[in-house]
Amino acid sequence: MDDERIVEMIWNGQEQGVDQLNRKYGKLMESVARNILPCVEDVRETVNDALLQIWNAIPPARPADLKAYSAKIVRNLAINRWKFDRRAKRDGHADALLSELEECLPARVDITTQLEHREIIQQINTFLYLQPETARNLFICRYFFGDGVEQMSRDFGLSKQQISDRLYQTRKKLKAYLIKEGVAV
Amino acid sequence: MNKMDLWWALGQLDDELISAAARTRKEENIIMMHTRKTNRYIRRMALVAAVVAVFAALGITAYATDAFGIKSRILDADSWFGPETAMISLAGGTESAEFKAASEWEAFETEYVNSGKMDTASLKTGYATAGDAQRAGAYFFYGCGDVTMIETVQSIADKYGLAIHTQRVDIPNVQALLDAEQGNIFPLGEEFVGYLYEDGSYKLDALGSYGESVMVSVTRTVKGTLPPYSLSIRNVDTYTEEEYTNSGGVTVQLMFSSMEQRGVVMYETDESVFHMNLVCYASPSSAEAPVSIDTLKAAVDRYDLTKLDG
Repeated sequence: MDDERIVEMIWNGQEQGVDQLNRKYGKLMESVARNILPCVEDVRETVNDALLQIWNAIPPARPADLKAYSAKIVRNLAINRWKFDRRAKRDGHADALLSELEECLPARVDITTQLEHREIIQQINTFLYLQPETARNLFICRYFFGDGVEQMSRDFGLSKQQISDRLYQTRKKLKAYLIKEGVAV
Repeated sequence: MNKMDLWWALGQLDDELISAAARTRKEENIIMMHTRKTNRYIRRMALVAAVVAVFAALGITAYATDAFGIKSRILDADSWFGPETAMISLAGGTESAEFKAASEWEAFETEYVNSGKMDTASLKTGYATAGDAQRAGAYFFYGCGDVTMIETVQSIADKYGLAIHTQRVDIPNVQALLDAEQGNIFPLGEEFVGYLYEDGSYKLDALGSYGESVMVSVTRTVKGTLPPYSLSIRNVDTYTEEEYTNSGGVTVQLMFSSMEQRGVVMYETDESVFHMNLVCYASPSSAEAPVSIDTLKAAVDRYDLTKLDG
């Protein structure tokens, strides 16, 4: 079933729309949550929460890209849950992602020149559009979807070393770009 | 902003970026490997059959890529992306200095980076602290990660009598710029972003819709400078080529594949080489649909190619 029809069903209050959404993008949502949360039960619960949130959001929301919309919602919910769980116990995979992302940040951030987060998001979007396709997709798979290097190695047909090198180069470029755009002094 | 803020912020990326990346993920390979392979095989065979049928019905003369054209521009090196992924030069055929230099640089870069010899700290100790950080920054265009790479790219350029890019400016909205200065070159409604080098070379990206939704990159490579990038076309054996004269009377080379999600348009003048790289990011029938020749023609017809060389 195409996305427009699914949105239409949810918009009209037809619960089958959520079933269709789960059937079409449930695996995607599960994989996003799984890459952030270590507990299977938490993953299932987060996907269910995301489906409920989408159900509640439409209307008034009318997502133009249902796949990306679903992925964003489940990712945000999974991060929230991870933050909550983290108080009790640290999780290795998510911590590794955070540690890598830290490399993108300028060492010194001046409060007076710091851009609003929304502007920074726009800068990151622009930066990513300017990157070669593979580098861009590698970055998003790693830091949006939270994919492991081994899975990415299979998906992209590259060695793990090549994946790591490419990600390193992109993080380095992003840091330089953010500095250039005034995120840091 | 701290690392947690950045992680959170990445959740607000543009939908197009997320969807495009999502299509490279193959979780189905893990969960339903057998089914996926079978479906993919059937779908691809169906696509091949469809393409063959169209050519047969219309009597279009398509010829093998090894005759001329695209294969003559493959860089002579295993690319970053492995031996099954061909990279083509964006700056002329095998006899040009630009091609030879790009090929040599590509080969060095691949071997050097894979060898693990790169010493990123040398940029700080070598160039930055010597007051030459600006020069080091210029080589960022070529993906140089250390002093050895910087010196190598310079020596390759010197060997072939080519210049190195020294400046690049980002262009947040190409359409607005061109509307003001040169009139409408790009299709209305498409906002190109990109960057421009000091010699007039540029790379522009946009999302477009020509029957299929595609990401479009337009590159102009001015001759006389070492081109900073090449183009991945993946499996070259799946491509065929055709000459086409667009609605403005400009003859271009179309390169399209029965398998890959991309098509390429090439157009060369005395001064420059142009490439339009179209990558399909959505299709009603299949997320893996190739960019069709009709889509390529529709895209080319919408551009005033004579103004691209300005």
